[in-house]
Amino acid sequence: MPSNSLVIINELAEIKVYQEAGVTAFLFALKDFSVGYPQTYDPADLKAIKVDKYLLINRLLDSNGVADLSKVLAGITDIKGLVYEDIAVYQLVNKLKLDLALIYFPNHGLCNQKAAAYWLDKGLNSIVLANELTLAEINVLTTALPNQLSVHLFGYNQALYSRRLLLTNYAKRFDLDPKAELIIKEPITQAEFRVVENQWGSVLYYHKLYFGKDLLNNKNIKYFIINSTFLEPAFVIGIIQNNYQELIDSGFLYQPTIYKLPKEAEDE
Amino acid sequence: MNKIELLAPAGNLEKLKWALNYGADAVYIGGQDYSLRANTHNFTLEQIKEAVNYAHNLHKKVYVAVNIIFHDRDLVGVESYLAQLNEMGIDAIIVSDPAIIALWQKHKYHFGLHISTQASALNELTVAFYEQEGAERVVLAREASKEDILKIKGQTNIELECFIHGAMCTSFSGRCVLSNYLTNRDSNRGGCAQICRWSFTNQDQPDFSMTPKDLNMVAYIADMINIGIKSFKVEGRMRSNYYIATVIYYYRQIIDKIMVGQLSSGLTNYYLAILNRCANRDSAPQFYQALPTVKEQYFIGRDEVSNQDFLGIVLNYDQISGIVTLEQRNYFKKGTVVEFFGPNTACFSQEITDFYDEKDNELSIARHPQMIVKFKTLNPVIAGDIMRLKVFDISRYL
Repeated sequence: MPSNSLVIINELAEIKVYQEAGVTAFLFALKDFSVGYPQTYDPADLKAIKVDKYLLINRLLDSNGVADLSKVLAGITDIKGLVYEDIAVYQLVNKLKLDLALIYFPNHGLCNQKAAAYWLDKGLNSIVLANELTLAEINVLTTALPNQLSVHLFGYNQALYSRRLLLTNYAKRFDLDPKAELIIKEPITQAEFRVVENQWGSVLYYHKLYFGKDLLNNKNIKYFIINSTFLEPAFVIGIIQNNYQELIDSGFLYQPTIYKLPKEAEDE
Repeated sequence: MNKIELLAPAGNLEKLKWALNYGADAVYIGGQDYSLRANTHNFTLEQIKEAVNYAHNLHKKVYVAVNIIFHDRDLVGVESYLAQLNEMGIDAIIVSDPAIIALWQKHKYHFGLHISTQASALNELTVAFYEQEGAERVVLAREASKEDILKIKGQTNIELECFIHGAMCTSFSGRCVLSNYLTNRDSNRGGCAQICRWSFTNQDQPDFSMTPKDLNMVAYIADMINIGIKSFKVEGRMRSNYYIATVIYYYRQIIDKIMVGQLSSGLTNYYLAILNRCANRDSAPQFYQALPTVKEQYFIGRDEVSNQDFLGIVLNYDQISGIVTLEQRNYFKKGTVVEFFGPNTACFSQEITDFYDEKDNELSIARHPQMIVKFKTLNPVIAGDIMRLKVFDISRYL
């Protein structure tokens, strides 16, 4: 496993397995401030764990969320850093004068060098690049800003984040037992998504497991984020250590997206 | 009290004129590049210049969306584009990518910086961040509740803009790449294929859907004015001229009547009925008072109502004979009860009796799109006024 891995884990017991594979830094979805992670943690749950601990705060915060998070952050100890999606977290850390590494994760929103430089100028430790970039684009960005940018290396990729309670609403509409997870399929493309919900919203994960194997050759990357959610550690480690790519999706690394349609398509 | 701004979408120059003439104080548009509606007509630089001149002559404003998430190669040419916008005198750009914020800070353009709803700002600290960066305005996330807006307003000194009408994303704006995965079209660069409006299967269970109904804030406009919202934004750069004219006209009425204390609940309900029918989709206030529930979403079979209410546009009116010449838009016939309304024409209704084509041949049906039709109206009308099917009787609401 890369020495600069940052692994999002499911169960605390998994830490040992990853440590044995060389991982030293772990990312814990913070209870009440993360969405899309079935297992979340209160900082008190982590006190006894002696590893480099980072908290994942990927919930977009409303005003009450800011007030609640302020209390949580004021009380944390032995946490190395935060991986966050809402700029309010950066503001809070500065306001509370906390000594924490800040890793900004604007989800799909960081795709160019100027934007990355803008955030790094604010004193952040790293920025997580969007999953929708190609390998070539990532290589250009990380060459320009070496050892400052992070990428997703492995796991299920997020395709949608909503404040709506999509599973609750669906269950209510059809009088079904409410579930916290559901697999849905788009019938034409056969693409599947895993819908995960908690009280703060819903996340859709694309069904194909992503592995950016060729990113491992890039020595300018700050952190490789490994999202082991829904996966067993042995499986994750086995694939990454063996550079196994068959049946695993490379996302957009070799598939640049388009956005302007040919004229004839537009007229349809 | 601050002047309230009614902000309209404009997908092209014609729509811009409709929006401004029907009561918008400002419009937002997109250029040929860099805007999230990549596949609508949008504005050439020449058209932006014309748009600015047209709006400024009416003492109104033009904001230009530069709101894609830029990849490095998309940034080629953007400095030159911004410099040209600056030269033209646009009033603000709408952005979410920090690359553009940085360029705005570097070049000290004359135009203002508005932070797009794509930035998903719904708390006071995030809004304060953009205020510190020099932004003039933040367009709040559509997920912001009244409680959030009150706190933001109380703890910042920046202009706040809120969406009040139109389509909603299922996701937080900018937090969806379903299009990328299913169609390889980048939703954050204007390629959104609206996958969230598709239907999904769930094994042997009913189909799964996540399509939101539209936003409609008619019931809360007075409340939002009291909170201190500066700008009231209507969604829909790809909507029709009729939609733009109708929605802007009625929100203009609502805002103006609120400001002079003349908006009754009956009148509110009448406006609401017209707006709901015009949109083709059901609408609701969504996140303002509470989290949207099952009622604010569509499931199997959308309850959309397609209508042909838009019957014609007034081309001219003869003051002496009282005869209107109009261009037909949808089928009507003798006996159809219609309504006229326009920027300077109070809404009135009449039954179509005798009417003629452009060669003065008497007609019983106007069935051909864009055919020219003439008849006598009960009240004077003005070129650009709209004739629509009368569906709602205002007297039943008052």
